[in-house]
Amino acid sequence: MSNFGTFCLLLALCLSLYGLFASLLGAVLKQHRIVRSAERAAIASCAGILLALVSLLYLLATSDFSVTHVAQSTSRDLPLFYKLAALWGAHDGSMLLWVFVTAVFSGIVVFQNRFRYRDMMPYVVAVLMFNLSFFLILNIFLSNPFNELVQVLPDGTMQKFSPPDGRGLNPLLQYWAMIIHPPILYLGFIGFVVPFAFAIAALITRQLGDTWIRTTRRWTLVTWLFLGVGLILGGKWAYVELGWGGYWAWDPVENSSLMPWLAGTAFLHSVIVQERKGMLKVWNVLLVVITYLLGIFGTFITRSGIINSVHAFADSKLGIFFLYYMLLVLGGSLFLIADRLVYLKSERRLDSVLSRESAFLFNNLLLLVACFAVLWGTMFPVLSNWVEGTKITVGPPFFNNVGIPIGLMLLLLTGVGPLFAWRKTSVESLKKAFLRPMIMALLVCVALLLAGMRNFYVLVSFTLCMFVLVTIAQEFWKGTRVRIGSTGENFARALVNLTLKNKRRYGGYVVHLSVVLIFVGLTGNAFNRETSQAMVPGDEMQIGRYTLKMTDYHEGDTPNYQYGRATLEVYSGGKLIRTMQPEKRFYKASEGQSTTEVALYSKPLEDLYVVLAGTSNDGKKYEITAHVNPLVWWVWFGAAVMVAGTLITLLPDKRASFATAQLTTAEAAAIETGVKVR
Amino acid sequence: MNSQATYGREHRILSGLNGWLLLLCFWAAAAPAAAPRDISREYKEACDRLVCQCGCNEQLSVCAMQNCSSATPMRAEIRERLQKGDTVDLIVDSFVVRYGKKVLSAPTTKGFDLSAWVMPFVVLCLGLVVVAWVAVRMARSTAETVEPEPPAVDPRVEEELKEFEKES
Repeated sequence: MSNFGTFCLLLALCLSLYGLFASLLGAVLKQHRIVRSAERAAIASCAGILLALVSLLYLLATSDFSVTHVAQSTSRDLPLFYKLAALWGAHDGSMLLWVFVTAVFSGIVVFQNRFRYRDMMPYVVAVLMFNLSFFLILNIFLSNPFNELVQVLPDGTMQKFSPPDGRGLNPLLQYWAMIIHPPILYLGFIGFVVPFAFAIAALITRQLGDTWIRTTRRWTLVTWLFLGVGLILGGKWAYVELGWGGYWAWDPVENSSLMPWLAGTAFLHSVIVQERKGMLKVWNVLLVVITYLLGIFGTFITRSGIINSVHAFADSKLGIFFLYYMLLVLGGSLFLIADRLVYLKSERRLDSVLSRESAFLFNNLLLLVACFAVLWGTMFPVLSNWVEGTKITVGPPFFNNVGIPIGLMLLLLTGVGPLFAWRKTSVESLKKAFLRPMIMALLVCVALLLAGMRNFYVLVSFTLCMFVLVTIAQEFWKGTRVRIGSTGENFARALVNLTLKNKRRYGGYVVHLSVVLIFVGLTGNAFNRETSQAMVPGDEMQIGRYTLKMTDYHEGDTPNYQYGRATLEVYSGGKLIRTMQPEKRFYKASEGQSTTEVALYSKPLEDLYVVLAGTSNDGKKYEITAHVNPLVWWVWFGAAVMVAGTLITLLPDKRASFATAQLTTAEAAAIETGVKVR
Repeated sequence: MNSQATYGREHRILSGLNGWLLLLCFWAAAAPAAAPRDISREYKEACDRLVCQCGCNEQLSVCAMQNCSSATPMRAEIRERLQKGDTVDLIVDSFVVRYGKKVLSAPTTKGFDLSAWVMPFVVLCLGLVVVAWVAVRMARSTAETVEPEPPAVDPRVEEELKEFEKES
């Protein structure tokens, strides 16, 4: 089966290389049949990789420990669900997943556009196949998940070897959010290859209007959504599974997923300016190149071992190849942009600095500066090592101090941006638009000051949150009132129809609302409290308004792990409100590696977060750590609102679908008859 | 006589002392037991400023490995020294002397490390200048139209889509 898997990957590589060269040849010779065969090769390579993936899943499910990847990331007693999820539990398998997602995305693009954009598609296919071939080469020759274990005999000969049991899946990965987190994150990282491919194709074919942007808008949004959901799931996993009481530690690998998300957010905003005004064309092409490269950079950080991280695959030798690939892509893209600069000129001028266009410019600036700050902090240890010979650590104190001011400026712009009109905003209309949000924000600020709040960032953050909240509410209110006046609908129906009639605008506002909610949650960090105590059953500890009474400690055994579980009764105001059971697990196959199972009582106002940190040295007492984390609930709720807002913007338009259907029919007929459709 | 007088004086002194001792005992019993100093805030600060040296590269407040060979003794030392009255700065400095700068969770504000803190804001300022320049330049320049892009799709459909977007 392992040979079959490698064969499938080799076949897929041949097909993707054929797809690359045939599509270019077809474009140069203007031979539609050759292009079509390249597209079929792209879909066939996708099928080949699917077969390889199924082979590896079979090997994982049947615990074939003669395969290195299976032996390193599973064990016999691991539940089937986790055995299958071990596909991405180690480096080689995760590369196969990466390749598979890349191939599926390429296949979908080819299928979706089989009758459209015939001038661009050969180049789109070429870029997609170039990208796929690169990853396939790495996967087959440097990181093959089908490699078999061999042992060297005393006489120097080598023979295949199958250990009786595997090393087991990293216990930290045995959590539901961690199981779906990597694939979702991959969807986000990889998806940006599609807008990138269309941008390059547009540059080559000199079709630099907004066609490539309209075509890839949904791709970009879906990709951005996946990346965002992946980030949130990673945070949720860290919060619930790592047991230190937080959800974001500014780890280099965490940062590497944040960077393309920030650049992607900038791109999503700036394309609106190009669509509406025909401006920022160079900037948009540059942004999509940067976003795509940051996705590759993320996997470079994870797989190169250049930076220490608990999430990184440390022993990989792939780093240098990623570096060459990134340089090649960057160089090629910049050359193309420079060569096509004349086609990238703005179609309109900026009428006023006080305009929506300017707000988008500043939004892009802040998002990219935030992205740069994360990149700078992530890479500074490497830089410091080169310059001073000392590899220093750049951790949360740096990112918080640098990131908070930039984040707050972005929050301000989230509220200010929509208040500006396109082209030009008069001072009078600005005064009118700003009045209510300013008053409400000032009221919040004064109330907080009167309540004794003196933390500058907390004050600014809550004040801005209220400001943005009121601007969003104002937008919905104004639109709904107009709709009620013109249609006579009731408020709820008018609100829903308003949103559905302009999904992009109002879906965007819902996403902005989610940003506010997430900022509320993040600001809660300033009030976190923590206490630890060595306890025995009968002992009590106090944190905030809660009294925790330990009532029991129990040890148990499962086929996969042993555990110790404390039982604590939680009292508030003298009343029993909850029983919590934090747990410590010791995984048998992973040399007793332990994980923390946090007990969580989550409410919108605050989370009570209890951890069984361990036992005292004499083994007679149990170390209980309790955290009270205010407002964390709003981070997860905000993330859910963000998903909802993005889905609203993604809802299909009936009339657009009708138009597209007409288009495909017309073009399909032309293509079938061999007539080139322009 | 002398001895009697001496005895009487000693007795009065001892009686007085006993009285004071008794009072002291009552006071000691009545006074609340001296509580250990609350060091939680300083402890959290020190643990946030230092990095575990086990290789996880996490702050001491984040490393969650049970009985970690690095974090556990470092935390114990911090707790002990804070109880003795050492300041957070003093404790952090002593760890830097022992392990070097890599034990700090953020760059210092001296020498090359300072560039870590300054650079994002330098980029922000440069970006602001560039954006302002671009905005002013774009506002001044007249519209320059490029060659119209040949429609990639049927013009009728393009028209219909534009119509639809205007409506929405």
